[in-house]
Order: sequence, then C-alpha cells, then structure tokens
Amino acid sequence: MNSPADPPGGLLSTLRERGAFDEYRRLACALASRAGRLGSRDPENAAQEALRRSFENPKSRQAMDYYFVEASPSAGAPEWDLARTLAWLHGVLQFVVREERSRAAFHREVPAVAASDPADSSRDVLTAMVERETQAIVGDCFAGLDREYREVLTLRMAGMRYGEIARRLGANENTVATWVSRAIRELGRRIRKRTGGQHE
Amino acid sequence: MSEEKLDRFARGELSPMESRELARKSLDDPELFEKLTYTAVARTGLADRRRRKWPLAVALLAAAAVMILLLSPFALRQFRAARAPLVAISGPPVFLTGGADANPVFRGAELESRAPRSAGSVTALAGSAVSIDLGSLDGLAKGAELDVMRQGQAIGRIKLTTIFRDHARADAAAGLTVHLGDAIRVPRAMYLRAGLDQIAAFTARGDADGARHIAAQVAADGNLDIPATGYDDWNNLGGIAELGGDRVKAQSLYQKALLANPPQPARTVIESNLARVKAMK
Repeated sequence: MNSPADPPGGLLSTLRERGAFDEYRRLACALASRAGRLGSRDPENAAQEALRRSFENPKSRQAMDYYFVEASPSAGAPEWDLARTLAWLHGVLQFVVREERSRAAFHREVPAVAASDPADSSRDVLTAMVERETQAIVGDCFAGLDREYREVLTLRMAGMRYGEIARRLGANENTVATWVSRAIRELGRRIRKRTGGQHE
Repeated sequence: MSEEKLDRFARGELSPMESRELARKSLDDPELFEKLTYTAVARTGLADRRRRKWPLAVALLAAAAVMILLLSPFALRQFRAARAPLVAISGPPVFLTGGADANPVFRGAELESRAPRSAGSVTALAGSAVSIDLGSLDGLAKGAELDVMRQGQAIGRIKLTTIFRDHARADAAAGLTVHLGDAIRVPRAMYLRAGLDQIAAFTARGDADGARHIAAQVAADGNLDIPATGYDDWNNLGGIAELGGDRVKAQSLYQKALLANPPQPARTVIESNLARVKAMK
C-alpha cells in the first residue's frame, strides 16, 4: 500500500515515531484487501480509517500493539485476545465501508447486514453497533449450520467443558474438541460468505 | 500454518504469545488473515452469547451439582461406572432445535422477540372489529376463536381475522358487546405451541439461555398436556417440566421422546436429559 500524506500528529506520523509503522502498514494492507471485498470504492482509505478508529479504543489499541508490532511487548498480555481484536477490526471496517457507501449512495443492491442503521461515529455507539451486528450475523449463520454442529456448539455455549460434552454425546473428548473447532470454522466460513463473499 | 494451530485458535486455546506469533504471520499471508478474521468473528459472537447471565434457577442447579460432586465423589464414580453410555447428571436441560422441516422464523427467530403470552387484552374497537395485543408470537392463527373474559368470567368469543406478529384483529360474535380492556385468553395448546416454537428457534440460533428463559416462563403457566408432534417437542416439553420442578412429568416426556425414534445425536441428548432427571434426588 502506498503511504499517503499524513499531517503532523496524524496516525501515520504517530506510528513512525513509535517504530511500528511497518507492521501497521501491513495490517492496513490486509484490511484494505478485506475492505475491497466488503464493497469499498476506496479500500486503502477505508483501511486507514478503520485503523484510526480502532486506535481510539484503548483496549483495541493495546491489543493491536501486542499482537502485531514486532518489538517485544513491554506490558503483559492485553485484555482482548486475538479473536476479539480481529473481530473488532472486522466490525469497524465493515462500519467504515458502510459509511462510505452511505455517502456515495450507491444505486445497487447491498447486503442485508449493511442496510441497517445510519452511521454514528461516537465510540460507544460504534462499540455497541459492532457487537450487535456481530451477534446478529453469527446468530443467523449459526441457524444454518448442520444440526450436529449446532448441538455441539450449543452445549459448549452452555458452558460445558469438552469432557462433559463428550460424556453427554458418548464421544471421545478429543473428538468433541475437533467437532467444536470444525463447527466454529464452518460458522466462520458462512459468516465470510455472508459478509465478505459477494465479490468472490 | 498447521491445521492444528488453527483448530486451537478456533477453540480459544492459544496462549497470548502463540496468538502473537500467529497474528504477525498473518500480516504476510492474506489467506491466513481472512481465515483468522472470520473464525474470530464466529468465536467472539458465540462467546458473547455464552457470557450472558444464566437464570437463577440454572445457577442454583449448577451449585447443587457442585455440592453433589464435592460431597459424594465415590457415589458418583459408582453411578458413572454402572451406566453406558456415560452421561452428565448435572446442568440444565438441553433443548432440541426441531426437525429439518421446522420453520421457526415466523414466530421466534428475530433477535428481540418477546416471550409468548397466555393472555392479553382488547386494545381497540371499531364496530364489531376488535383489536387485541396478542399475535403470532403467542401462537394465534387466522380463524381461531378466543374467549373474551370480564371479571374472570368468559362472556363470549371472538374469531381472529388478521394476525400480526404481536397483535391481531378479530370479529366479535353476534350479540357480544366487547369493551376496551376486556381480557383475552389464549387456548393452552396454542400458547404451548408458540412456546415450543420459540424454544426451538432460540436453540437453533445457539441461544440456550433464551430457550431456557422461554421454557421457564411456559413452565410457570401450568399443564403441558398438548399433542406433541415429534421427539423434539417431547424432549422440549420435558425440559419445560424439568425447569418447572416436575421431575416425574419430565421423565415421562423424555421417555416419550425416546419412543418417537429420534436420530442420533438427538437420541443421545434425550437420553442424557432423562438420565439427569432420574439421578435427581
């Protein structure tokens, strides 16, 4: 990705000063690729805007620094795990792309998920919206999973350990662990198809 | 990147340092970044559901289970050794999602759906047309006839003409004078059907807490004697009875579910529910 001009004190300048420019440039590249799939007309700008907004959230910022920046982390593990951090970045990027599309007022069909509330850029609203939409998307895609996957995930979501699920289903504990990961990855594949797969 | 590591990421078993290594690797591997992102969205969405608080009754059941485990490990070992297949004897009932041809969308699949109600009231009148605050969510169907109640007494019937999600319109029977605020009673079978549909819909969405909440509410409203349509209904009625504290009824309903020839793994779930109820003292 090119490095567009950034005013003093802007995101890129800050990253340069912190020695984390290269990692965030690569992260922005990855996000730009995803923004394109989400339907952005200006993926690079959308990626940078998503990063900027993610930096406004202290937990997100701490987690991104920990997981993506090469320099050894001075503090311990962040509050957010990698899954939450990536899910957050996905949600914010989707939000930014929706804003962009809303501004551009595209005259073409948009995915159902992008057709809800208009954007409000305050951080709390953003957080609530990202969480709500994640819930809605996951819920809808979950309903389409095979019954076996739904049942094993339902038991897992009820707080059961693999051993308990294994006893309930009469299966080996390692088998249950495999089913859980397969079910989650299948769920992820369906989410990808629903939210970012329209250009695939 | 090994599948084993992706599996562990999906299950949330990577250490922070392992996650860091994986994240940094994904910066140079767009395909890996995609896989991680959508797996992360799936796992985070599921975890958010899991974080919801369990109802008090479920928490009490769990506490009781912990006490049993602490106080009688030997007895539990004996119990487990005697049974095949092994089953968990603690925890809440597990509901089933309904058959492949089930269609839970109409009544219960929306995120902010309310629980079904067994009674409502008249909200508007226009000649013989009556509007009520009950709808398909409560199990109502076009053409059904409902009792109109005043001061606890049935004064006549209305026939439903138009059904919406949470309200409906009806015609009052000839000679019946309906007042605003008159109570409307939903026939028990309709109400239970609505409850079962919502439980199946919540379960299909992976919202076990939501399903249990509906079941607990339906349980509080009394008898469960309706014609069930399959093993999933029998099982879910058993779960309702169990949450309502009627273990004998629950046991009987779970047994009916098993007699309805359920496929695996539904059979396993039902057997587990039955074993747990039998083990309760």
